[in-house]
Amino acid sequence: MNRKTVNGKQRQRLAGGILLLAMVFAAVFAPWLAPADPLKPDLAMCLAPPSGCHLLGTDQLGRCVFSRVMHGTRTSLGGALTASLLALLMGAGMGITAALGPKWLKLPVTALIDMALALPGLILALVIAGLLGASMQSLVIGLALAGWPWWARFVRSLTLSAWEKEFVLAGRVGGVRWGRLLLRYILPQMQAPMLAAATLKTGWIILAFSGLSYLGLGPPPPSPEWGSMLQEAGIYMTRAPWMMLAPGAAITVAVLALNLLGEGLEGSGSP
Amino acid sequence: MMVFRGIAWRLLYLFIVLSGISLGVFALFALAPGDPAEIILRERSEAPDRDQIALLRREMGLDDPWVVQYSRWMKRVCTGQWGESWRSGRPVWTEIAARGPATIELALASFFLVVTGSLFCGIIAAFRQNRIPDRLIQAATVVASAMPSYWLGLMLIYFFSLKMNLLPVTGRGSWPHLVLPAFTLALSVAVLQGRVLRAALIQIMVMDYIRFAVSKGLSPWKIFVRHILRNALAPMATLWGISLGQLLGGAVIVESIFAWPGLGRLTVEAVMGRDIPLVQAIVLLMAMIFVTVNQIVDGLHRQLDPKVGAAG
Repeated sequence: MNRKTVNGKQRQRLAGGILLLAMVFAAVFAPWLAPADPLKPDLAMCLAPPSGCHLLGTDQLGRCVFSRVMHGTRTSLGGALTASLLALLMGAGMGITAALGPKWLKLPVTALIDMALALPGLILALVIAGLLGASMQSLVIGLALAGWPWWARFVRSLTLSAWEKEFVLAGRVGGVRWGRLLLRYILPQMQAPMLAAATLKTGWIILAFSGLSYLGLGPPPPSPEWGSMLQEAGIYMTRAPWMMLAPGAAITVAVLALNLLGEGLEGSGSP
Repeated sequence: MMVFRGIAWRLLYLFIVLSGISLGVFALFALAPGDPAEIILRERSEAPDRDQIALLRREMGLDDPWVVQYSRWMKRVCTGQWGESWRSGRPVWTEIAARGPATIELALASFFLVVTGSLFCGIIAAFRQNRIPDRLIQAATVVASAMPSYWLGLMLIYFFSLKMNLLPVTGRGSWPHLVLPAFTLALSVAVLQGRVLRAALIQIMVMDYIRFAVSKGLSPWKIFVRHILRNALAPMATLWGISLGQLLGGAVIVESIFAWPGLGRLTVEAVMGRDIPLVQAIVLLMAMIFVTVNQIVDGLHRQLDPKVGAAG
């Protein structure tokens, strides 16, 4: 790797990090930053075009689109992050078990991972979340259950290659206890690749989260969510085309930030 | 001998995985809230009374222990009777067969766009490396791969169908109907694969045998087609193959935006309508196709690459 690409990676990390921080900031302080109530209808202002009063216009119930997108950061980003974290934890547990667990447990866990990998993730999430009924929780559960198999396979291969390293072998021969071996010898080696993969995977989960919500599987109507806002914008496209700008841009920026950060982190942690 | 033991073990493992999947698919019954008998009766008539529900429950064998139900269901699945849709009452196979062609049509159209698009982006970017065309394509790739298809699709409909009135809004029919959904589906895949092709081309362009071909006085066109592109296409073929599989199975959202009457939309309709037999059939079918294709790809890989070895 030459110097130029190293600087490029730094720039990517920086740009992604700043964008992501801005979004997290917007999510945390949305109630104070948003100019209007995202839920309060104002029937006198239905489908109003962007103006000084409503920066990005209003929707079919006269709600401020800008405020709704801002509050949507909490639902969309928050939901996707939760699902991503759950998938990572489940997958890591399964992956480590499949790599290092007791022999009688290895085969069933590996088979379970292969079964879950036998379906496209989006279909799995759609079926689980859809049958559980449209809500925030079922969408998070669906995406977590669709996301863990990928993590399990990834962590399994990381664990196996870490296990083969010489200093781990030294520790094994030296009689280091299993738990300490895992926490002090193996996990530290997996940190960097897992962090990079987690950012990239979270980007995918945001797209899937808002996509399924676009299909009507997300949190039910009044709550602001980017995907369902886009679905509503599609209905009123002829009369209020501005409605679809902000939610779509918000999703794109969020995924872009995570992609930049993830690509910047990739391969940076290992010496 | 080792080879055969490997294959036997793989087949056994495949059987274990598939029966596990079938158990999971069967369990979808339990995941859906509500009494199946009641749902069916509601679809058929207005308000079912308790006796009717109890009668149908007995008829369907819903009161039996789940092991009995599972083995009965499994027996029917193995003999090809995958049940009837709760909503339409028609066999699920009829429903799936009615929607298959639309999905295949869309997948092939976007596959064509993926191949031509990635070739176009990759070749231009590689030969104008770090100059304006390359930078533009790079920027487009970064944005396109972050852009949700449901946003891209809506904006394309707005500009090309509503504003300029060039293309039909939604639905399936003549070839103009295909343009927007195929493009929406293909864009992010095409630009990402273009980037892979760019990297492969650049790696090959600095090889010694290319310098040799240049010094030998071969025409630039010949060098490009015979020596550079041909070698870069080998890894691309694998990528394209994988993407065809994904396009066939993963058009759920795009088909919904454009009201495209394919399998993806059928899946969404079945899930939303809690049409469990249909959902089960789709999931089972997709899983079977995926597992089989994975085994074939894996097997070919083992055949072609002696380093991987035949034993599993």
